[in-house]
Amino acid sequence: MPQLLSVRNLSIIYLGQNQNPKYALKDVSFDVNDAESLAVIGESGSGKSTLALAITNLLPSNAKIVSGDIMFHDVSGKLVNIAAQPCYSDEMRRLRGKGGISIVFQEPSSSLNQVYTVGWQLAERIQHAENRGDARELICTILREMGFADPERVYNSYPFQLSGGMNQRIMIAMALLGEPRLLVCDEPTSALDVTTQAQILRLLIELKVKHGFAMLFITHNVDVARFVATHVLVLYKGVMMEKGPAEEVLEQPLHPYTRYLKESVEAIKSAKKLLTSDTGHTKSSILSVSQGCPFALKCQYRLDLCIKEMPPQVDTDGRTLRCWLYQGV
Amino acid sequence: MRRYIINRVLIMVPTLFVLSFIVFMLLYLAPGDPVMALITPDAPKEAIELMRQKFGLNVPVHQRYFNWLLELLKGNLGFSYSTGRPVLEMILVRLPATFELMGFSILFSTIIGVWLGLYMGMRPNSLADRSLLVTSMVILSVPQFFISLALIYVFSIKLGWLPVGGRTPLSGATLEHLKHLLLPCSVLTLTMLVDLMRYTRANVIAEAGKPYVRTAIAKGLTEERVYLVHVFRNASIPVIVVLILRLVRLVGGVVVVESVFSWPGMGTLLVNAINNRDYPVVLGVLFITGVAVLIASLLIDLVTALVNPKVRLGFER
Amino acid sequence: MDTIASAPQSLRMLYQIWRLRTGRIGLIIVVTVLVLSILVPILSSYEIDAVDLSRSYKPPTTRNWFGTDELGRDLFTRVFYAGRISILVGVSGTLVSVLLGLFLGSISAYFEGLLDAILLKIHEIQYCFPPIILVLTVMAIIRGGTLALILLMGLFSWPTTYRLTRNLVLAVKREPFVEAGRLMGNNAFKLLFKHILPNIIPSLIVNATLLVADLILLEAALSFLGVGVAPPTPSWGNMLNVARNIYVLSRMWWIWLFPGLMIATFVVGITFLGEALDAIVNPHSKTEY
Repeated sequence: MPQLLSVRNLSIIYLGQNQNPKYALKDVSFDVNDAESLAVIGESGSGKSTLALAITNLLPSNAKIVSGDIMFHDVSGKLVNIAAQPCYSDEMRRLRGKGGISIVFQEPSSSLNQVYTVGWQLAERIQHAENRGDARELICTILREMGFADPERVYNSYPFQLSGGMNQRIMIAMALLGEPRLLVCDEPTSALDVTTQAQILRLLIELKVKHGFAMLFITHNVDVARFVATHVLVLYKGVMMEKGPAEEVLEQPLHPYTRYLKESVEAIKSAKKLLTSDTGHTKSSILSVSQGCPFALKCQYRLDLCIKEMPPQVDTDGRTLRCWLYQGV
Repeated sequence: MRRYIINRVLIMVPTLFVLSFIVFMLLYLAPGDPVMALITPDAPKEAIELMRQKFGLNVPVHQRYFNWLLELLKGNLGFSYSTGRPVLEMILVRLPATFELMGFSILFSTIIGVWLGLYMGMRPNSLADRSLLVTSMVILSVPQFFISLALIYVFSIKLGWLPVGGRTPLSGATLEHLKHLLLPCSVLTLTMLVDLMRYTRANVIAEAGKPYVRTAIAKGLTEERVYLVHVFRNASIPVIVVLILRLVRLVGGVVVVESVFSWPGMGTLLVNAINNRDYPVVLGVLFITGVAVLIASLLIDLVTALVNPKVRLGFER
Repeated sequence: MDTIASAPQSLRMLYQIWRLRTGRIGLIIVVTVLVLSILVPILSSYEIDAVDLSRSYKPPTTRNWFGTDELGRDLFTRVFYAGRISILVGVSGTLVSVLLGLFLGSISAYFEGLLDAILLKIHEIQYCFPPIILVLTVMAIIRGGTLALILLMGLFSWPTTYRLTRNLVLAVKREPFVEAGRLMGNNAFKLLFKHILPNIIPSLIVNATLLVADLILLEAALSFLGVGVAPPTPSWGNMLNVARNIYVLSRMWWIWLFPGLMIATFVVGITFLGEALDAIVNPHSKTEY
């Protein structure tokens, strides 16, 4: 069975003002299959948001896809290379409209237009993308599905009259109206409070089971990933570090960086001292050691080779890794 | 919404009072005795006293202000020192000409300027965008009276297509009227258009980078729809707000342009009155201008409320 | 790059301006006009009031690069002398306006309350009137000279600087370091001068530069109408006054074209300079170039 989404050797740079390009993603490859849920875990600056925008063809004008493909299988079986499409192409509009890819963003309130009612914005999704229909009925139904007790009132409300959690549900509704095969979620709960977070996550899983779409879930929170994902991809400074089934990677991390992440989470939970040294978290995603592994300087298992050369992607034991420690194993 | 309107109107009232007070004080303090302008210098004292009484000039200041205010509410702005006619009448005669000039300028500059601004905002840093930006900056750097002179030189003198100045009454030949209107209107339109264009462009670019635009694209909408229905709707709000500033600048431009083209409007009335030391007329024009601007700003606030649901529903200012 | 970093602030600023295309053009234009205006007594062999009726109304020739006016005076000389006056008036007026606006804006934002409300109201009312009308009226009443012109121009354009200063100070006031300074016992003025103002100076400089452009245009318009700088002192505006006469306008194009072009060129230069400064001071606003 062909993969739903197939990303191959994707490299993306951001053009800075002084013409110093920064690599946001370097040579990233992975697949997403039907009914899977892939969580992309990374700190800020890891390039995970860029990945989400690249897959949905919403990259800003200062971002350039240097190389790579993003192959998507749409409903009719046709294969589209999203990386090669301009933003507003007919192909993209078709994919966004129905049976393709939808996205839910991080900031629900600013992701909605404040001058139109919520209902109007939802209706626009159906009326102008593909089919017309009795929009109002359909929308109220889907709002009820999202957990709204009074869909009519919500329909006539403006985004600024609703809470963050409510707005995020509306964003999800908007995404699902397009009957997507793949739902991309870019940190959908990071801007919400903890109780609402749990509600939204649960809702997403329910919807996934009910409607049967695949999910690409971007997060910096390991626990959220564990809750939501079937598979996990760990990104660090634009480079894939480890990839594999969720439970395995998160319980038994092989890559030093994944191990560090796991330890940090546990250290926070139990206020234990960290075994590994602090990464001295920097915001920039410039590959300062442009030749070698980006984690090399902070890795406690570092070899000389790690600084000089980028480890290749290697499949081992059901996982994929980029680490010199696992070469030849 | 109604509360918003009432609120705005109420705020305007003290402003109007202060304005009227300032105008009155200036009139009171201005040199020149109105009576002396109307009778011979060596008239007998009683005659002068009689005239003063007639004009209500020998009453204490606060009472004079009160009388003046009363008269003002009745629509009486005083009498001209030079012609003796009521100031309001003189202004009303000139008003249509100025309104015509300003009206058309606002209309054309808004339509063309905003549309161009949107177009530029959709394609920033393109060749068209850059050239329009540079051109607009040059236009804004040239004094309006110089543009007027140059246009007269080219179109009226050298080419003889258009008249040099003045205005024919509206009821007369329409083509002639339009010929007279064309040049002064063009000068005013040009400056305001270019200004609006840049401002709209900046706002469109700023809005286009906002998250909700990404959502709109992700919904599968066309580029036209994303920009027209989503970006522009939001970008036009600050443009409307800033319109009042542009209007004030337009008023300043009107004075100069009317002067160069001998357009019989309030601008030339003002300039002539200043030269003749005809203070009641001067201050009358200033007062009317102030009131007009305040009313315009009220109207603009109303339009903003209509267009921006946040304001309309009381969530903002 | 090492030497650049260690050079004084002003030189560093100049370098940054030069790097931008807009800044380069602006700087070249402004400096050229200024230099020519200042050096005109050396460059030109004519006196600005050297009347020579036998050579009146002559078009541009090799003897008189810009031609002569009705009194046979050399226009090239006059145009650049006028440059001195016009630029001087524009800059002085800006100085008055900025000082006034800065002072009032600072105290308004710092003390807030009733003072702020009153100042806001006054500035709101003044905003209703274009400066040209106000200066025109008062100049005519008091029949002032150039000094009065400068003061009035500055006085009637304070609202913009006031509003800008007020907004900036209000924003900076909320910053923690200001609060810290206050707790350390600094009094109001020390706080304002040492801590708040240095942070807002860059934005004010941009505003001031663009204000110079506005005021030069304002002076030109006023002098054109006969209310600004009075002849025989030449200013770019009053040199254009003679073109109100149709005869002069149609026959003697050199009399009005050159002063007009000078105004346009210089204002373009200043505006470019202002935009370059804006790009330097606000590097994050991607609005224009």
